[in-house]
Amino acid sequence: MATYGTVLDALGDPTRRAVFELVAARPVSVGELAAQLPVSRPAVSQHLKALKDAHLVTVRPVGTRRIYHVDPEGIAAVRQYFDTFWHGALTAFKHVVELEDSEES
Amino acid sequence: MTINTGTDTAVRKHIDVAAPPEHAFAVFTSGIDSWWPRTHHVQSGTLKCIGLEPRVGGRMWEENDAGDVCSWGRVLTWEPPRVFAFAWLIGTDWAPPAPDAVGSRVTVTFTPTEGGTRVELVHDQLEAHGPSWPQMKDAVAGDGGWMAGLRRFAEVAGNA
Repeated sequence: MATYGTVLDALGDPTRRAVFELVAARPVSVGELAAQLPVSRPAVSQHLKALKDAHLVTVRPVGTRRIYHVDPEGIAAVRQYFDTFWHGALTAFKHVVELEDSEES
Repeated sequence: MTINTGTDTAVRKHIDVAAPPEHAFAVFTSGIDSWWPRTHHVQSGTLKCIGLEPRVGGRMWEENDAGDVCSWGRVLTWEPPRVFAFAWLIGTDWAPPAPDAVGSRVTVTFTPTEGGTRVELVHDQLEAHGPSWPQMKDAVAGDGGWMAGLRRFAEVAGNA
């Protein structure tokens, strides 16, 4: 996951990161999360609200339960960010490869 | 070979280069300092050099102008000249990663073609960087990464 330091800066709490990791592993309810973490249900709900506000998780009703899962919008944005990075990096790589190879031949 | 990414939110890129796989692999790995965008580094100051230890479990590291060295990745697969994979420990905020950070994964394959080599890159397990998304919004707006890469190319090409 992102670094410990990153989480503290971004979301202020390593427990929040743990909540996100569990949601990312599979869709879960608040109760299932609280059962796996050393924090109370209200604390879990608070972390979920922050993650929801950051577009990292989203919730859907399943019967009487509310199931949290990763929000594709947040992940799509991360994906777009790295897509842009690699586009530029690979372009630079290609030119260096072909430049050096032409010099050697 | 099939790349099993395990996620449909992966970044998938490919580029064809007019050089043999051995050369492409070498430039991508041992020669990483020759093409990496100089604006993308995790430490303060300016990037002096970037490198990697050429073995499974090897570190990927950067050194700044003050001589500080920081590890930001870990080699997962080392199979020259065909496959290179590494754990990408840097979040989208480009802060120095913790040594035990899990990170996302970058897998690069080098496949011989008639014209040289097809280089395919898959960057997956991006959920690892989810918590740094709030910082990313600013980073995306000011991202000079790929422009920096192109400027670097122009420099290298001009010196040929």
